[in-house]
Amino acid sequence: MKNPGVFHESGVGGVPLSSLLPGEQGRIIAVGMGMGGQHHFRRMGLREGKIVTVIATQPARGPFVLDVEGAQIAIGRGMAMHILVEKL
Amino acid sequence: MKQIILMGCPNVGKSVLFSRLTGVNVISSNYPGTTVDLTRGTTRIGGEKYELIDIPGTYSLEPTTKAEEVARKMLQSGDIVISVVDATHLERNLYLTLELLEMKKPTIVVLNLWDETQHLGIEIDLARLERELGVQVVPTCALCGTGIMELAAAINMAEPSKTIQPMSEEERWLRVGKLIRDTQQVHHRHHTFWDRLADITVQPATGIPLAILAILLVFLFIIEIGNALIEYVLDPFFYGLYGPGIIKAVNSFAPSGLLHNILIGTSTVEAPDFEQSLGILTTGLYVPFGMVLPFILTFYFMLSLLEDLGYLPRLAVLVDTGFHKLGLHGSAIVPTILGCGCNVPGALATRILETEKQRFIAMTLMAISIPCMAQSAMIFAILGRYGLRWILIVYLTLFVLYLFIGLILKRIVKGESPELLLEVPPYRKPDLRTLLKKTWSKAYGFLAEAVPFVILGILIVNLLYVFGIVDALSVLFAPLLTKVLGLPEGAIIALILGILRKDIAIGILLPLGMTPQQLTVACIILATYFPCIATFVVMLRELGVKAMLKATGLMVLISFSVGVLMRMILIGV
Repeated sequence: MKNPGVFHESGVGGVPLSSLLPGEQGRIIAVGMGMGGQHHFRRMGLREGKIVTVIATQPARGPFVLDVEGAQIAIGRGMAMHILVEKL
Repeated sequence: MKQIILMGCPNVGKSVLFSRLTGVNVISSNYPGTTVDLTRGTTRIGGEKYELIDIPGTYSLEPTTKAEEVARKMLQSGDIVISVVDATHLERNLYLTLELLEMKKPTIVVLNLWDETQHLGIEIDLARLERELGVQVVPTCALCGTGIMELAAAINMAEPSKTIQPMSEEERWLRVGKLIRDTQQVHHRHHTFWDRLADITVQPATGIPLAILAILLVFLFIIEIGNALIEYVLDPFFYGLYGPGIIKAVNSFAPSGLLHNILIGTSTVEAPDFEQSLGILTTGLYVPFGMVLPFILTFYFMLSLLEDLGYLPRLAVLVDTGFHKLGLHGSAIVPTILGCGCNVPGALATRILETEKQRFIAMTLMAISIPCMAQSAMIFAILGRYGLRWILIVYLTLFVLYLFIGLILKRIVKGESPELLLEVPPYRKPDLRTLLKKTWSKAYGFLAEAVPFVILGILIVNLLYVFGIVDALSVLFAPLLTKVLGLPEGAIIALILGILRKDIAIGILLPLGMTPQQLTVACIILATYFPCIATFVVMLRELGVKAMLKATGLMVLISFSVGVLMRMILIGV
């Protein structure tokens, strides 16, 4: 991979998942290569094309709780910055 | 004997399936990573004997945590693989199944939680799935026992997949997508009570007050029910029935002398003394059974309830921010809570943390400031008689130490502290029978380990007194204990025994006639200075010699400093 940055260049018009508010939905456009690793995200169901709903965010820059196709995943805010979504 | 390897993602009911197949008492939990140690059992199927191995849950064969490394290693040695899949989350489970099928070992795919697919409106085409995967697919409900016979029958006929060939990660995901489109249909469903509960327990505005309430209720239950067990069951038994009987029996063949003292110590028929007599048959049995066991029972019942309900991952989410300040993340709440029961499983559960740094911090903090339930029960019993205040001083000191040392370790320990990434499983209704079974197996485990060690400890104490070694040690350590820590010189015996077991070490403080202030200082030192031998061995294995030396040095340093500080505050200079 040429771009190990926060997310892929391919994400036209996308925003980081971490910018979504509770209740908002987004479709994953790209999964970042940074900390945590792309593999681990994908294995937990966070993959390109999937629709995620933010269920809750914890105060003081705490983690996000997401719903991905009926399964809930807790993910640190820093990690959520590495996932690019198209807001729905 | 052929080996059957049980593999699957965390939280798919593997352990329940394991106990169904083997009939062994094993623990299954609603938390990723609780099954950190391998569980082995044997089973007989169609006249042939197999060894069954339950592997810690893992999302793929690419190791990212210690638990996954173990999984990979074990898989290579197995003969037959059972790939356990959560039928309600087929898509996220099939990736691992494909990886397993690519290994070309004889494999059976089990669709567990099959009964729940109906409630959730999920329809799976079994015949089609079987055809696509090229191996037998067996639907089961491990909890209720459906499909277990069919699974047993399938094991003899397990074959490697004919349709799945090794492929790249990208191809594997595409394959999973195609399999799902071809074999699964999902219909709409209504929100249930559990869905709403799941929601309000992770929203900070409602979740944090509920978490505080839940923890308070759990503590109240553990203490109140534990005390009731002592008052209405155990004390009447020990003082009314067992005590007079055993003392008469011993007096009949050893009315005095060394044997008498070792067996029942200073107890007499008129005044059976279980706390201070230091006899094997009096204090040696009363400490584990009469003082600690009641709280072990109530603690593990509540822990199992929280685990089976699925509350712990939600607690992990709520406390995540706080744990980040200590170089850990929310998942560290699990080893911490387990450590409140016993530090040994607590230390093992740190495997769910990703990096060496996190594991070092979590284990060191636990060894220093998380007293196990055996220790807590004794602290409560001994300090409680002087008022709640002294107990609070001990626990507040330990809590401040936890935060203080964590804040420092985060900064000085090299390595990374990654963020939380955790599946939050749906709530499941706990089953009372499973809860009682788990509680019993934990209580049994405690007794099997504690009773021999406590008796050994009391034997050692008696012999040390008889041969005058206590006096010699007392003289030797008197300057340290009396001048620096303000304790009676006899307390050295507790510090020595504390290496063996903390509960009995606290127990032998009683006959020394200390003031509540001295007892409080002694309890804090005993809690922090060194882990018990069992925890030490596990930590050594998990951390390695070098890191363990650092951790031990830290414990001794901190324990001594805090001991001196508390002495100055409580007893005066």
